[in-house]
Formats: sequence, structure tokens, C-alpha cells
Amino acid sequence: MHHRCLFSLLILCLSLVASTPTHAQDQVSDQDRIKALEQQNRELSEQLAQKLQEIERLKSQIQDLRKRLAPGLEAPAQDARPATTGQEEQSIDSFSTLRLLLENDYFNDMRDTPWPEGSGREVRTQQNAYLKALNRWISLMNRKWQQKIRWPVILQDARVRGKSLSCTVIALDPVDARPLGEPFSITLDDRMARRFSAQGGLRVGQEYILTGMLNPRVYYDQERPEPVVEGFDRKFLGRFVCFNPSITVQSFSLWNKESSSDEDG
Amino acid sequence: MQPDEHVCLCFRVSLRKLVNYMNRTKPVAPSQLSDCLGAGTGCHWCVPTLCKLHEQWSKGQRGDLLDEIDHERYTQLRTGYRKTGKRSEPGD
Repeated sequence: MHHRCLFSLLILCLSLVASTPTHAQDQVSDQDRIKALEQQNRELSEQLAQKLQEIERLKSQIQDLRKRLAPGLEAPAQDARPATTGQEEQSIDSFSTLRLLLENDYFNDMRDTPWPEGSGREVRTQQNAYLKALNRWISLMNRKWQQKIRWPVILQDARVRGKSLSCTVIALDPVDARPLGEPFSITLDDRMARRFSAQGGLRVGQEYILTGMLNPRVYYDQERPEPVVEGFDRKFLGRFVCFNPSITVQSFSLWNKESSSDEDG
Repeated sequence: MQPDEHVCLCFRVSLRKLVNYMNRTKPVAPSQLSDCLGAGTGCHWCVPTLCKLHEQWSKGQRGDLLDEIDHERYTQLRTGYRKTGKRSEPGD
């Protein structure tokens, strides 16, 4: 027993002696590793914080969208009438909102009707029925979401096109003047163009109030069974359905925020 | 490409705007750049460039983004793309 203990001690001492030269190196590399891990930890924590922030932002965005879409979800598509006739019409503040509403309707109305895949007489008949239903849905949407609008916009560009003016604008949030969605074009007729040129012209970066008729222009496109570029195709709603909204301008005037908020309130 | 040159020529979205947008919103996917003034949603010519920009930015690159792109040539090639619908140089 005594011998065994001595032998164990000897082994331990030998191993300690043997490990001494490399021990310092190990310590150094361990420190490096710890530093690297700490750095990685800091980076990951930072990323985590960013992701959590992003999640919070998306959550509030989802809530906001749900609020906006709530009336649309309640109304069955078959009973939908032109939005302009309803008292509680869903007001659209930008093309982005229109897109959300159309996507919502498409999801609700078409999700149970998949495109009949395959060939043969029976499938062709089913496909024809699908396309008929789709065209009915398109007409319905064009009536449902056509409405009068009154949007604050910021002017990005204005170019003369014959006697009229072609303007690029972005819709703004009436509350905080935050841009809503992508820029779009409107045409000011010669009467409006003359009026602005008499007043010294339009100014890029200036905020205006745009009133007019929003035309959703949902249409059938047999060349578009899927988006051209996933995530970047804003016209695509679903298989063979696209939209290209426009506004028939009725008036375009400087945005007086104070009087606007009085009217809204 | 210079910061004030347009990456998205349809909606005239400059490189500077896109970089500021990425720094502010930290997009996790390239398609989120379309929320920056509709970049990439017009003729789609700039979509590969937006993807490249997002990739460079995601890797932590902050200066000289899209430095390898000559804007004049980029614009010229887009003209051809708009006529034919085809990219003469993949990735441009």
C-alpha cells in the first residue's frame, strides 16, 4: 500500500515536471482563447440585443397591421361593395396599405382554391373555372378598393410632359410625416400645372396634399404564375394576379399641417 | 460606385440612402431593402446589386461598398436590360 502511494506520488510529480514548460504556453493560449470567446460573447450579445429589438419592432408592426386589417377580415368578400359607398370604409393611406389589404383578401378568398395542376380535359375544365373565379375576384377587388383619397405626400421629382406635369411623390403619415411605402407617379393636368407655374412652380422636398381617386388596377397576367423576383415584386399578388395602382388627381396643394389636423380631429 | 450615385435607377435611391437605411434598420434579408423608398421594385435591374450590397454590409464592410461597380457601365447595361429583359453580365 505504502509502495503504491509512493508510486502514485512519483507519477504525479513526473507529470507535473513534464507539463511545466508547456504550462506557461497553454496559459497564454488559454488567455487568448478566453479573450476571443469574450469577444465572441460580446458580439453575440450585441447581435442578440439587435435581434430582440428587431423582434419588438416586427411585433409592433404586426399589431399595427392587424389593427388596419381587422375590418377587412370581418367583411366577407362576396358582400363587398365599392368602398366609397360604405360609411365605415377602410381608408387607405398608401399603396403599401392597399397592397396589404389586397394580399389579405387574396389569402382569404383564394386560399381554399388551389390552381389545378396537370393536363387533360378535366384539369383544363377546372383551370378554366379557376380563371373565371379569379377574374370575378379581380373585378370585385377593383370595385371594393376604389376610393377617394386625401394623402399628404412629399414631392421627389417633377417633369414637364407636354402641357402636364409628371410628379414622383411618396405618401406620408399624416401624424408624423413618416414616408409610407415607395414613390409613385401622378400626373397634374395642364390646369394644375399652369396654376403651379404661376405660383413659382413646385418644389422638390415640399409636402403637399394630394386628393383624387385611387384605382387599385388589379389585373390578370397569365405570364406571372410567380413573382419575378421574390421579395422585390410589388405588383405580384398571387398566381396570375398583379396590381398596378394609380391615382386620378383631383387637387394638389401645399400641406398646411395645422389646418389638416383640425380637419382630421 | 460613389455614395450619391443611384443603385436603384427607377426610384433614384442612392447608395448613401441604402447604407444609412441598413445602418438604421439592420435588415436581415436583402429584400428588406425594398422598404427603402421602393429600391429594387421597379425594373428589378438593381436586385442583384442590392443583394451584393446587403452581403457586403452583413459581413461588416462599412467603407467602399459596391466599390467594384462602375456606375456609368452599370447604367448602360441597365438600358440593354430594359430593352431585352436579359442581363448581359450576370450579377450586375
